[in-house]
Parts: sequence; C-alpha cells; structure tokens
Amino acid sequence: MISLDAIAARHAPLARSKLTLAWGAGVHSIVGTAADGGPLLLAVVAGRERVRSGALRVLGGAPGDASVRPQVALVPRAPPLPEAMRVHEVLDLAATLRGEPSRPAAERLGALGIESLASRAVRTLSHEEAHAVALAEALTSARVRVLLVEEPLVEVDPRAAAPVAHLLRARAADGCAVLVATASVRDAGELADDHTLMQMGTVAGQAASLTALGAFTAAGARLRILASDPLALVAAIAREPDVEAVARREGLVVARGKDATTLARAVGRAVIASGVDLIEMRPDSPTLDEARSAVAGRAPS
Amino acid sequence: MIAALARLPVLRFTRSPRAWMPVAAWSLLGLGFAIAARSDGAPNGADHVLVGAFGALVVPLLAYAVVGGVLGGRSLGGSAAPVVALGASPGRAAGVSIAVALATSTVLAAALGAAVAAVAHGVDDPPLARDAVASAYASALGGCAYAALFTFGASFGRRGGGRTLLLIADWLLGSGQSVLATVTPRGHLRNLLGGAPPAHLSERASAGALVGLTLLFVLVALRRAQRA
Repeated sequence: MISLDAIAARHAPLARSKLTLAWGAGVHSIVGTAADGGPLLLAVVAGRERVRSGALRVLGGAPGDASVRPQVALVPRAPPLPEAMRVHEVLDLAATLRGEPSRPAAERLGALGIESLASRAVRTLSHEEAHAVALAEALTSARVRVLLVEEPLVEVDPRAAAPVAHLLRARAADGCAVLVATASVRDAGELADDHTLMQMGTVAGQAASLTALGAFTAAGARLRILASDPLALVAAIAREPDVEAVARREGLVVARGKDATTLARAVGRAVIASGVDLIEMRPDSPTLDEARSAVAGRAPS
Repeated sequence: MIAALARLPVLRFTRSPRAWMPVAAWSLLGLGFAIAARSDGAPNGADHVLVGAFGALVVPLLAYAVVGGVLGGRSLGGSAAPVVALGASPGRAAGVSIAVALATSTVLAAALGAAVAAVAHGVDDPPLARDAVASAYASALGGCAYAALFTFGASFGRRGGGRTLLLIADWLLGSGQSVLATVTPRGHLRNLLGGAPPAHLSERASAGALVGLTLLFVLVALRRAQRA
C-alpha cells in the first residue's frame, strides 16, 4: 500500500536519507521526534514534500496522482483547515473533494464526540479543537485508504482523545494503512501494531512490539500495578525471584524484570499470595532513548 | 469541483472584514477623487481623475487588496494548502484562487472605472455613456492585469510578500514612458485611460499587452503553484 525505495527528501533531516520501508493495512508507528524526521516522512508519503531521490508508491501510484490524492489524508499537529469556513462546511467541502457522498457533519464529528463544533467558524477553534476536526474528517472519510497522523493523542480536544485509538484501529481493520508519527513510545505502543524507530533521519530499527522491546533495554521490562493494598503487594513481589526490583511510586507499584511475560507471571503470583485486589496492571513503555538503544542492539524484527 | 474549490477564496473575501474593507476604502477613495473633481467643476474632470489618481493609485491598490483578501493574506501555495489537505490538486486549487481574484478585481475595477467617469464627468470629456463604457473596459483590463501580477507575486515568499515587491516595481518602472514601462500594467492602463503611452504604443497595442501580461503572469504563477 505504501512503499519507499531509497527515498531522500529535499529537506533535513531526510535530505541525506535512503529510506526503504513498506507498510500495508494496519496501524504502524514512526517513533521519534520531529528532528528525527517522522512528521516530514508523513508529508513525503502524502506528496506534500517532494522527494529528492528514490521511488515512492502509495496505493499503486504516485501520491500526487489524481486517483491517489483524495484517498490520502494527512493530519499534522497544526492542520491547515479552511479558516473562512464553518466546520460543517469544511466537512462538506472535503466530501466533495474526496469524491464521496456528503454526510451530516454531526454524524461525522460525533464519532469523536465533538459534534458541538459543527456550526463553529474554523477561525474560532482552538488548536486542540482544530486538530480534532481534522482527525474527524480523516477518520470518518469513506474514501481515505491511507491515513497519516502526527501525534494523534497530543494537543487534541480531550473529548476526541479517547475514541481516536479505537477509530484508528477500526480504519485499519477496514483495510486502511494508518501511519502514526509520534515522539511518545507509550502512545505508539497503545496505537500501533508495529513500530519504526527514527533517529536523525535514519531508521534506527523496527520492532513488532514496544512492550517486548522493553526486555532488551538496559532497564528491562517494567509493569505498573494499581492494587488495593500497595504495601502488601510490594512485600509479596519482593519475594519473587523473577523480579529484579520493586518500588512504590505515587500510589502505584512498579516492578522490573528481565522480560514482560515472566514479570507478569511473577506479579500475578504475588497478587494471589498477598490477597490484594488487583485494579490495573499495565506495561510501562520504555523511553524513546531506551527504545532506540534496544533496537540498536539487535536486528530489526 | 471547481465551484467547491471557489467557495473558500470567495468566503475569504466576503466573510472577513479585513479582506473587503481595504477594497471598500480604495473604492471610496476613487469616488472621493471623482466627487472632488465634479465639485471643482473641472471641464475634463473624468479624464483628469482617471489618468491621475484612479489609474495610478486606486486600480493597483484595489487589485492588491483583492488578491490579499482572496488569498487570505498568504502565499498562493499557502492559500491553497487547506483544500490540498482535503484532496484537491495544488495546481487546480491555485488556479481557482487566481480565477476568483482576477474576476473580482476585473468586475470591481470596471464598475469603479465607470462610476468615476460618470461622477467626474466634465463638459470637455467625451459623451458620458461612451466615456463610462471605455473607462470600464480599460479599468477591467487594468484590474485583471494587476490581479494577475499580484497573484504571480504571491507565489514568492512564505506569506506571499512578492506581491508587495511587484507593487513597488510596477510603480517604479511603470511611471515613465520608456520601454521598461511596457513590462508593467501601469503604463498600459495609463495609455488606455487617455494618458501618455509607454514606448509610443497605440491603445490597441496596450490593450493587447495587458492581455498578454495577464496570461503570462497567470501561467507562471500556476506553474509555480504546481511545483510548490
């Protein structure tokens, strides 16, 4: 669906790159800061930035092809919405330009819980609201098959943040290729099925799971546990031989081990042994630097 | 599709007071000069106002304000970015913005030219109806050429600052009667309105030159927008 063959962009940090990547249907993350080139890579795939060299194919053609362009949606952090229009007019215009039947704005915006913005003038929207409107347009378009989203969970209307992950996955399940550029390893882990770590315009590595990646970091895998009696749980976890370290942090119990599965089993045993009520247990994502170090230390998976 | 693309530049111009108020101000200035000429009882008031303040000041600044309003004070490429983000072709989006700017500038300049000719009409001016039609025709050509010049200028710079440079260049180059004046709309518009011709060109040649300049500026602006 998206293939890059030795692609270099005209601007830094991708000016000297030779990126060879391919993505099909699914949610894929590009992890790194803007200085690493993730947002620029999205703009290249969308055809908004010209390539200096290499071959880029999107949906079987060039991103600027008349048949491809309406099927590609790019949602940057600061989307350029038509400022002279109202939100419902923007959605009607988008439907016309993408070649799809117009649907009620409230229905499309309602997918992200922001239907109250339908009659607002775009120039009155806050940055977060504009971001949410652009996300709603891209996520609810029936024509879009390639969705390129920069930081979908950052600076977005709080009403829209919750359903975004679900909608991105739903679009991927419909056969769309969803590319998410984010500097947050945690967001990448929550949103995407596989991950490409970028560093200064090059691919530092690729991984199928950032949770598994934690096992390869110097710190190992970490779990954050919320339980009814943190003290009792800490005592029980401390007796588990597979747990390397355990600590209480702001009401949570944080445990560290060599790999996530073994650690989760050990914590499970400790929960049963201590008799506490387990409220939530979730893997603690590695930091961006930890993730980079991890992929640099092993072959891309 | 074209109608959908035209909505944004039209709404930019009509919904934002910052877009249409300068246009209204320049129009009122033109009419003010005409009223002043009429109250002075000048025998060839229309000729005087059209060649002077109207052609040299009002038409260029009117077109400048129209282009700024239609493009939302951005560059040509930047003004098309919101619709390009929704799937439109950059070239087509820019082309429609240019067309809206040219049409608006042409119609406003023509109407204002006719109005100024009518209001400032003096006893030594040509017959009123003929003068108003000729003024509308010349102003339309001038307004269109200026809009093309400024949309071309707006294809330079992050915020389209090239249009300001071209406004200054037009004033510097077009004020004289040398060959240099033939590359700007100013000299040709002055010729059509009854003033001194650039490089001794006939009125017909100046009309052709304005059409040619319009086409040239539009084509280059479109090419730049497609490549941006």
